[in-house]
Amino acid sequence: MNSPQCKLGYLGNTEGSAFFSQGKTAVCVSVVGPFEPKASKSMYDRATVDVTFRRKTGSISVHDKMLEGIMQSTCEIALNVEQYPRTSIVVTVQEMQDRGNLLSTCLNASCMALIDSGIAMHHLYAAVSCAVTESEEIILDPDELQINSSVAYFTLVFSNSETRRLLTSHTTGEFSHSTYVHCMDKCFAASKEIFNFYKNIVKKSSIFN
Amino acid sequence: MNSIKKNVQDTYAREYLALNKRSDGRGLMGFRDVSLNLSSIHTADGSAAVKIGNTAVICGIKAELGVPKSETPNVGYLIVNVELPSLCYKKIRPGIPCDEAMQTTSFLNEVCNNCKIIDLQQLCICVDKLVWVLSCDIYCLNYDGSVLDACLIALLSAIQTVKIPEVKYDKETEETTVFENYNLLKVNSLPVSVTFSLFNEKHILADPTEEEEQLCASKLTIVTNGSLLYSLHKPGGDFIKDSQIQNCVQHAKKRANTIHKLIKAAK
Repeated sequence: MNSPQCKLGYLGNTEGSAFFSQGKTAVCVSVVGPFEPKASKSMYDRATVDVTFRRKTGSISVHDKMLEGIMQSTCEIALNVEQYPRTSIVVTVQEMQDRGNLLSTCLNASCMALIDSGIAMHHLYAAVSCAVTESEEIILDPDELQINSSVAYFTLVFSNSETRRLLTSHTTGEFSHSTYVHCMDKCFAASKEIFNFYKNIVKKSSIFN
Repeated sequence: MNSIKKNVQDTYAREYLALNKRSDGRGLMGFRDVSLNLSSIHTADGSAAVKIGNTAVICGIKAELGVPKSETPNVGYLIVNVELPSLCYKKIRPGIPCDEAMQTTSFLNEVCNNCKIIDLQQLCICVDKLVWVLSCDIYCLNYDGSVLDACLIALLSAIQTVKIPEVKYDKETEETTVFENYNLLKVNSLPVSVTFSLFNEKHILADPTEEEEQLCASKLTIVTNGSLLYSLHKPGGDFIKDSQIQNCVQHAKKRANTIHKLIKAAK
């Protein structure tokens, strides 16, 4: 796998931020909150989580709206929202460069930014993308060309637990169930590397190293 | 949802689930009956109305002539659009399309691309000059859970009723002549989407109603043609175990075969 790169606390005026790049794709995430929202948005027993995804151009397409929805529900379930009633947490994901694997990069970046923000979380998550070629070969973390020539392309998200727990799955192309299971095995193994990476980054950027 | 109300409904649902039943009498993996009506709109070139339980959607397809993209000069267009108007569900406000409508639209377009529902080259009339544009508009009339499943069945059956006339295009004079010779489209694959809701670690509900969707932590949508999978979509939410995925896939395949039979019978 391409080794990812990450810089925490990259933005000054936010609770948490991360600049994350994987291969040639880079995104920047900021986390603001928990703060007091408008009365109409406030929920008395939990925090509201808002994830916005922005393209370089500013506006987003219908397809991006779906990616935003996936990020929203993946982030929301990871946060311990019951601990912050009547507040709002806003996560903004800004695309810097998209050369394939955008969804997995965005998800990993948002997880790093949430770690940086210090907001209580239930679990961490790591997203891994893989492509299946015509000869049933599985390529982890494929580049743009490999994605375009693949028959199937998956983005799978796992939590950092002992047993395998699939949080999110987004697929394109056609595939059989056994291929899916094979990919899940490989991606799960790769997700361990990403959790290790998280650990190293946090160690490096904390003052207690 | 208001948490007190949610708590009451949650307890109610749990008591049923403890007996492996659901409040509407179905088993956990029981599906609602589907009814299908083909060619319900006479002004459209192809149409279908679908009901799954109380969920109702209607799909109309309009064929128009258009100019192809220059990077793909010999393929036509298949554009799917899903509308969730405010009349179908109390939580949808009138005005700009809601997020869910956009997500469903995007998902359906993706599925159509994934499984190449029709060969888009058959929509070509003259290379780089004239192609058919099939605009598929899907309206939800009543929102009672599993709207995506209903939309895909409606789309799939409406496409099979589309009749396009033969068109001749004269390159020199740029004139088009339409003949009264109608042909059906060739459909490549029959994708069927099946939605499951994860209530908690133990209980998975097939074909959830709106009330169940609200109570459940996450959703899993499987698109299959009975053997191959076209999508296994789980947009976040609570985690799922491998054995549960396996179980869902098997049920989805069975359901796909039932729906195929239904569409065949309706024709």
